[in-house]
Amino acid sequence: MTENTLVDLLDRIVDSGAVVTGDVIITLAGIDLIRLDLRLLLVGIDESLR
Amino acid sequence: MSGERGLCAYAITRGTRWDLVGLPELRAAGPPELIRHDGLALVVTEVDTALFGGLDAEEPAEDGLLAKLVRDHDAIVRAVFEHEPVLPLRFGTVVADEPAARRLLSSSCDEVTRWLDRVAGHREWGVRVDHGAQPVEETPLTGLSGADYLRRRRQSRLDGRQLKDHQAEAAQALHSALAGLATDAVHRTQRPQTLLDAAYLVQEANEDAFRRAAAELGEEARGRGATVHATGPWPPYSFTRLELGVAG
Amino acid sequence: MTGARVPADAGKGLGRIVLAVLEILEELLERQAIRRMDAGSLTEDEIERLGQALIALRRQFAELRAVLEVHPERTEL
Repeated sequence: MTENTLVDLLDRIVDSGAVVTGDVIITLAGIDLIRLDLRLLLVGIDESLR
Repeated sequence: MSGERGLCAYAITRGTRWDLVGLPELRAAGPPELIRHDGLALVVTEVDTALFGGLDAEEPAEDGLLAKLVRDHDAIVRAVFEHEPVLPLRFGTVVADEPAARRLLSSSCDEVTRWLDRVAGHREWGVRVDHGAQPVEETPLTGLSGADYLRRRRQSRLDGRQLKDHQAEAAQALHSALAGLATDAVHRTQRPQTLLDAAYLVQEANEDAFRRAAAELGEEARGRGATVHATGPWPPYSFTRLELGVAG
Repeated sequence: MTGARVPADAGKGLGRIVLAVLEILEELLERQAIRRMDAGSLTEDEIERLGQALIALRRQFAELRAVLEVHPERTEL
């Protein structure tokens, strides 16, 4: 299996990973928006490939 | 534009083999460090939170900031993963400072330790099967009577439906075989046209059998016109559905 | 289908939309014809005539498609 493409990487990483909550966290403005955008983008890439 | 300083956190590990971890060349992040507490260690780099500020305005591109940050995230998690079990944290997790990092480790110690034990000696593999493009069998317009034309159309519709059913069966067979060889399996997002999009947590001892089954049964599905896309090995990204809450 | 950007040439865009609607219509007609044929509610003669009508329809679509692609500016229907 070959080097991961950016699409595979985004698909793997964007929505995964343990979530940390509580006051130790610095909330980044926009980061959840990016997750949503990327989800849509990945679905879009998918459809444009067919 | 300058924001708060913070520690971008990538993963939690035991940190027992940190000296062996070959640190990757990073694209955007500074050099990773370990913050140790209670037998666990948080892998962090120091960041200016403003770094993440412009991300949502940017079009994702191969050389864009988002791509660099995501590749760094993966590179750091992978570098640790090669030497010891690792719990990846969600991309974009930033903790305030070292004391905050220690509080995170101490409050989630039991849960993380259990999780690390569970994934030790395992790697993740991904398999996705999609309906292939329907082979368009164009019914000829000349040389057929009206009745024959209609019957041919009926047959080609039946064939199309049957092909889809066969692809779905092949995907199901593939999944059953792979899930049987894996310690754990999760279904990922379902998109239209997707027959199977799953991640498998596979013990190293079972990897050969797993990859053989994936190749053989994947070929079977391809033979029926489906597209099969396999990825891996990955750190156990898709098996991290846990929330580490730190009470204030 | 690729999400092709509609060019400044709006006539071609409109033609494509019309064609897409007509194709959906043809699909419905064909499905209906096959369903009635399977239900046994059509005589052999009716099946023949329905089939002929669908062949004629598909031929016209093929011509229309050729026209739309080759001369996208002439799409007044």
